[in-house]
Amino acid sequence: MDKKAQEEMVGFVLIMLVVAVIFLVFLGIFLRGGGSKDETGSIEIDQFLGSALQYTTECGDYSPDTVKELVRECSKNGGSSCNSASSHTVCESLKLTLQELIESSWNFGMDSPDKGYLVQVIRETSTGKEIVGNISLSRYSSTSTVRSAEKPLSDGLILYMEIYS
Amino acid sequence: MVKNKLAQMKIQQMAFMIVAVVVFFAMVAVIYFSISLRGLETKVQELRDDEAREIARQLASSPEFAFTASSDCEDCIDLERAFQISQNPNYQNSFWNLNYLALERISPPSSENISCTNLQSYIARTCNQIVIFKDESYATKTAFVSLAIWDPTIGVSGDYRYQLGRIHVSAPPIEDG
Repeated sequence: MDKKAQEEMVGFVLIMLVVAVIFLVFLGIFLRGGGSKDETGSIEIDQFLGSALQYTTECGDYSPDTVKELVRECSKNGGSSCNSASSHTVCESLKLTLQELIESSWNFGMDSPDKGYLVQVIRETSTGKEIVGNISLSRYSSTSTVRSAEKPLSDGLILYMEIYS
Repeated sequence: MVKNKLAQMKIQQMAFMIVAVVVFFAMVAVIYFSISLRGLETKVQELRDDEAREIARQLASSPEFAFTASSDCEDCIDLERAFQISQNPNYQNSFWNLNYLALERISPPSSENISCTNLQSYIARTCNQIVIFKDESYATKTAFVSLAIWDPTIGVSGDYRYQLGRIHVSAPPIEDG
């Protein structure tokens, strides 16, 4: 009779183990699907980057440069002065302009649908990618949903943006 | 008799176990599908939003708004044309089957978020919105655009200034099915 009871217990434990393994497999599949980085391009960010590149800045000597021109100028002569009246360099001015455009276009915060962002000017070379002129603006958030877009310019330059939701 | 009872107990035990396992899997399936379908709904909404944004963006390329002074700015809106359209009664409530169409300047920012009645007040930055037409109120969809406006203070003889803006459109909701 004791042996029978032992067999029953072993059977029960085996069933519980099988059920637990199946549950863990389900949980693993679900978490892998939901928690992954959503790298799909976002039309909204793409539109923002396209419009931001056309934006007329206050930088430039004879006529003000657009953001697109500032990106190119920053990659070539980043340390040069913005114009005779400004104390900012070209790269500093680009950074400030991008920050102003982002902050005025989105509301970031924990109560907002958009929690944070990352904007970088990247140069793609044969050896890899490098950040141009230290242009890397960010406001990080612990969320894992990411929408991103990038706008390629000439000379391997890319304006890249991520938004965390 | 005792053996019969034991067998009955065994059958009962097995039946309970099968029922418990089936209920467990059913619960897991229900949770899994409800979460999957909720994600699908969000995805559909995102696609609809993207579609509306694309319509808003396409408006920028329409002949009524397109900025043709520069070939470098495909999605720019000519603000002078937009003002002329906002004053033209022929365009009221009949343009692209929309019931709300407006332009908003985001940057440079304005002191107040109000609608402009003329181009001078827009240039003076005392207002930041151009309402082309406005009918019933629906939830609007927006798209980022560049707004081009002639600025006589640029350079020696003036040049176009490009600002960051949004185009707001509203259409009756798409019927399901």
